[in-house]
Amino acid sequence: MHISNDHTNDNEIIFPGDNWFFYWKTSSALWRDKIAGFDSSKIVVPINWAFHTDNGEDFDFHHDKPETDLKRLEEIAREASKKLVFFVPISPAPFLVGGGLPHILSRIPSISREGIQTVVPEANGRINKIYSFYDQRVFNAYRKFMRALGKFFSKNEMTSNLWAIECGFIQDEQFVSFFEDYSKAQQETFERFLTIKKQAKENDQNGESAKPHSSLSEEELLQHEFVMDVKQLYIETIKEFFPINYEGLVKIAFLGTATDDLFFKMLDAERQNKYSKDILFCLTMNIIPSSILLPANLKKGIIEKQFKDLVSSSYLSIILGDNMYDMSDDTSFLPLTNFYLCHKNLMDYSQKYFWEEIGLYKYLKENFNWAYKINDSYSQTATMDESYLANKIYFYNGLDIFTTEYYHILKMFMNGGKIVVDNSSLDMNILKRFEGFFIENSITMEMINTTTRISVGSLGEGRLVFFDGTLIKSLDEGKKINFWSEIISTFDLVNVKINSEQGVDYLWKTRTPMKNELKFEEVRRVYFYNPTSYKKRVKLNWAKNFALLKINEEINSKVQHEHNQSVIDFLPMGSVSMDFGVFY
Amino acid sequence: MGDIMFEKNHLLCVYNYLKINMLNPDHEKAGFSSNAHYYYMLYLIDSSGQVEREIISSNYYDQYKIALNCGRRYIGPFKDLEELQGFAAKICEKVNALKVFVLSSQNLSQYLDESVDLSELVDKIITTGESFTNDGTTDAKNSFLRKIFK
Repeated sequence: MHISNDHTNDNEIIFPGDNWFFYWKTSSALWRDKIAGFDSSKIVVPINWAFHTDNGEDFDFHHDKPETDLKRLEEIAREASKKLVFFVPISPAPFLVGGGLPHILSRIPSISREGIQTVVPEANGRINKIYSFYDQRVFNAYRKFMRALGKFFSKNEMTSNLWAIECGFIQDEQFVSFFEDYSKAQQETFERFLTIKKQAKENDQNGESAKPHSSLSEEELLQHEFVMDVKQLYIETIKEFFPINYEGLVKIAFLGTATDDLFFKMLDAERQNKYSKDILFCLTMNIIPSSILLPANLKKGIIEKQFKDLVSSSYLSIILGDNMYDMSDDTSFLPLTNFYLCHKNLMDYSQKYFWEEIGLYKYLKENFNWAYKINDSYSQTATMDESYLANKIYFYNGLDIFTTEYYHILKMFMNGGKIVVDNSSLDMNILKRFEGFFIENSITMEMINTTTRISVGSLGEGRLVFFDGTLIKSLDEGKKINFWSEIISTFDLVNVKINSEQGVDYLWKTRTPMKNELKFEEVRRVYFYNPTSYKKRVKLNWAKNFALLKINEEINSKVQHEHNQSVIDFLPMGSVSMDFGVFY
Repeated sequence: MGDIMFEKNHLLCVYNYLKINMLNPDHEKAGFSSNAHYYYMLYLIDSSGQVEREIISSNYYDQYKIALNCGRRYIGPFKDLEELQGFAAKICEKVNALKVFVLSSQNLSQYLDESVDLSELVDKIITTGESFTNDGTTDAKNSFLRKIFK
């Protein structure tokens, strides 16, 4: 078997997609023409550390190579009425050789959680080897570079926004960061971290400090703390040296860079289907998907359509908190999320999701495709606005409820939020505090017998449901699904039932009604994609709260209406979207 | 760069020797102990992607009489390398693949380190890696050809 060479042209090398601009890939003499000719008003400029230094000590920002002059780049962009956004990696970056380290620092190969050297298969077949960011020399050199770059920004009064980016990929519906590394360098630094922790513990007069209440083992907790601490060092470095420009941290998943992509490329396997799912998964996890490292042929067609519909049009502007990409009248749609599954430790492939074990994940996947978000962090503070909490259900694993989460849950409940809590592994003190809260506020807990017994507290629109996760785990798959079907049906969520053949992906978005749509509470759009090479069919049952408004862009697809349902027939790579007015 | 890749009907298996804290009472009945290292497959892939979990689960049950229960991706535990290789060969037969290439994470890392591009990597796996041929497929092919040229 033979692989075709990637036919990427020069312009695609400079502008690899997603509005990114690789300034080091072209002569600065051409910047003006290239930027003026680019059709978007916003341009993402990732910083290439290795391009600005040979030895890690001396830095070039305009002296030797004119292509290193970022101030000039910013001026050219301004003159062309374009805005630059700088991306600075805090992890190995798969779009840069060696992950972005200057050659002299590329010493210790990064190792994946599976014990395999971390590499990125490039579109042209070359193997890009990634090096560890845990090497102490790397961090010291990184600080030096950021200090120099920060000085350059402030001295030249550069005003463009700057984001720290954590690069990674999606594998098995998990974001795997290129920061994750099990190399010798990581182990040595971890040993030093443990020694410091041990000393701190010995110096602590109280002696033993209790193990934090968590679903993770002590070793996992320490590893997790260590990784977060080191990552934070990189983030703080950027914050410190770019006090004016720094906007925050975003995670970016580069399609085509996962470990299994390496094998898929060697086996010439079909991947469009996988990338289509990866894009939708990113949307559920607040991760920016990027197509810049996909071969030119894979960037076209259905993947290109998904980026246009779901990523470029509005998603990036939401994540970056700025009108990052050119807006059209379609862009006021936001992804519809009905379910928030709070879960810690998404890092380990050998662990099953708690939500998977109790059947909720499967139930939501089958019935509310991509209308759920899995939060691996509790730091995200949900808005307590009542309209925001409407039509949303928050799920908590008892093991992961600390004091902060306890107060957060109560706040949501009192503001009309709907929360479902596994109480089988809830800390006794937290359980008592919940009971105390109900007694103080004269809230009666209603006991309901479904597949198992659940208890429900209500306060206005707010609902707090407790269930026994251990019992649910022991049920067979069918009973687990029935249990969740019963529970979810009690929340009266407004939705349309979709019967989709396997392989078709769909995602709902929502927006507030416009002037001529005021009879509706909201307007929803459902996007369908068939990334497979087969014909597919989808049936959409009409619901009483939904009125079909319009059908958009039937590409390789046909929508027909039958009694009480719409039937959509897709050819390979077909797509379509439909708008509905929704009244409650 | 050359352009050698695997054939469509090739299967690739990558394994590692790990200690995973996932053992349950069933595992102990089958002779696995909770604090030990065992062999696990990390990837078992052909040109249509990961081999279906159902095929793997049922064959694993046939081999050990216990359910496959080690997370979303991994396949195992296996008591020794021979049993893992035997399992890979069995799956190769089930999915009607011509050949399965079985290599450890360490070997793969070494090949990756020594290779500049994917064809070089594939070449190393094919020429120096361990592989098991599905005799059934070869026989079937041969007998088919024999019939044509009879």
